[in-house]
Amino acid sequence: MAGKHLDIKKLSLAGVVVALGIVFGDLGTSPLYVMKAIVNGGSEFNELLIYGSMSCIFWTLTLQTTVKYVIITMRADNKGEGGIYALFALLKRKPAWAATLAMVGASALLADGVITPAITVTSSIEGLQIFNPEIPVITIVLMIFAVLFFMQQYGTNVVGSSFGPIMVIWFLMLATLGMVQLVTNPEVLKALNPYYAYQFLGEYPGGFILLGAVFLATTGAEALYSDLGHCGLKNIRVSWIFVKISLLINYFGQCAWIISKGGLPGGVNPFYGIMPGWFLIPGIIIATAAAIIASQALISGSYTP
Amino acid sequence: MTTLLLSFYLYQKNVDHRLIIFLLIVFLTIEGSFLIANLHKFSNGGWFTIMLASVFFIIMYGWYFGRKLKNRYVTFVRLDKYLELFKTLANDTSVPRMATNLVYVIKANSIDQVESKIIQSIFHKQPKRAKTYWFIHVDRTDEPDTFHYKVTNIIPDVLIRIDFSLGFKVEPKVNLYFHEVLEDLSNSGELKLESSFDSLKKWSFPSDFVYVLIDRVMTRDYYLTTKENITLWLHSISRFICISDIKALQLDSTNTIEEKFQLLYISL
Repeated sequence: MAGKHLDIKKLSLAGVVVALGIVFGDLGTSPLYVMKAIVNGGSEFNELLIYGSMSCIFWTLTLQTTVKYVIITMRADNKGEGGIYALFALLKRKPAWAATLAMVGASALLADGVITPAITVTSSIEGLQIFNPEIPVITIVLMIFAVLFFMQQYGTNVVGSSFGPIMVIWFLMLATLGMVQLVTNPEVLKALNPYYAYQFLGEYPGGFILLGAVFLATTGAEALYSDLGHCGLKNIRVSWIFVKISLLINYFGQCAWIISKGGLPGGVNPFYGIMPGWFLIPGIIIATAAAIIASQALISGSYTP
Repeated sequence: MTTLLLSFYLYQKNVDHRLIIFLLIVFLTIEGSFLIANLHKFSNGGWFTIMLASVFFIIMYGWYFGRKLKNRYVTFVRLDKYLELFKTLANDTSVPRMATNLVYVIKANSIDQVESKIIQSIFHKQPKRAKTYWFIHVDRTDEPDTFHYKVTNIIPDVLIRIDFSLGFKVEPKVNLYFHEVLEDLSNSGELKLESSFDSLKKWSFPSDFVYVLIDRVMTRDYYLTTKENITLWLHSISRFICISDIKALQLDSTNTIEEKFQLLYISL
């Protein structure tokens, strides 16, 4: 086994690109649906909804993902392997309650792995409704998954090597699209101030319940830990810097756009709303590719909780 | 869950308790808030995720704790008492041979012990005569990629034990690995793999193998607590859903016998 494989313990450009394809599928495709879920779930539209939820997204990504997983949890590796079961194996004493906890964690991860691909691919295909609201989204999604699962038996190594580069394009697209909007209204950056998150949870009607939508921005963080054995600590840490910056620029860009429009005109997904008209088709194609890669990563990842 | 388990791990590693408590408070607050917020989605499809997670949990719980419970009733016997018996049975022509090579997958970690069920299977039921008895023991290690084996001749040519140490990421292809070991032994001249039958020997037919896998089943003859009964019930559900031991160990299903034994055996 050893020798031919990429040495994942070392930081390398190839390692970082591979990590982008495997680890950040779920986390990296969240901009497809998070802002839409927040605005649609909000009881009334005002600036606090946008600034407050954006602040929550930023601080969740920072505390949950950067601090908890990237800085702390990923150190607890079992000879390079991560994941809740590897953590359980590390325990010297293994009382029954610890085993039960590990199982609850792994079950939740598996259940998440079942529903997230459906949400992600559906959100990407929904972009087509901008052209034709009659388009049968669910049928297309079912067809995509039928093909995806049919392909599983042949192994995914052949296409697997293209995952990383496509995700590089995806994250560059997120950053570029976000930046274009962000420069028109850099004021949204004030959401970095945690006071907005505090105010949002306390004062915005139903703000606390909207955390359920904010939460979607951080699902998949556990994958950083469980895929440790595939990609290596240093590669994941470096790629996370790139991913987090791209994600934040995109979220901020969506916020700037929503505020300039005063809501979601015609219920459009802000992810597609920030795209210039001529870019919609390539944008939908890249989003669908990224969504499929994310689904594939979750399907493979489910075998190593 | 990772938060709680991680804290317990840090606690075992003697990390400063104040730091652990600080981490627990911060992350349990965040995750608790998300949990409460997410529970509001229960009626809007959230129930589906929770139902899925429950199904996964029941499978894992039944598998792990059911096994633990069953293993509590595994009894071991010292092998040295039976060594003479193995030799005698192997040469007892009044018993028809069941196979030239009879292979048992055993659980005993210690080299001079074996489960009493194995002894029962060979001697107590209809005796199983063979030329060579093989005990295969698979040890799953907590290191991901361990892969080695050790052969012990307990009685040369009659009783041979093979210990496999496999990391948790190594697929337990027991049948394949066993054959690789046999080939190694044959190449080094320690073992002859040709057929043991005089008529077939000169045609260089290969030797024959039969695998026996012991399945311990629960009967209602003894008393368990309610919790234990539920655990065993969940265990039987998971066993029904999951792959069989034969498939899990990747044994050759065409010549594997699954023998059922009562969990507790009242010896006469």
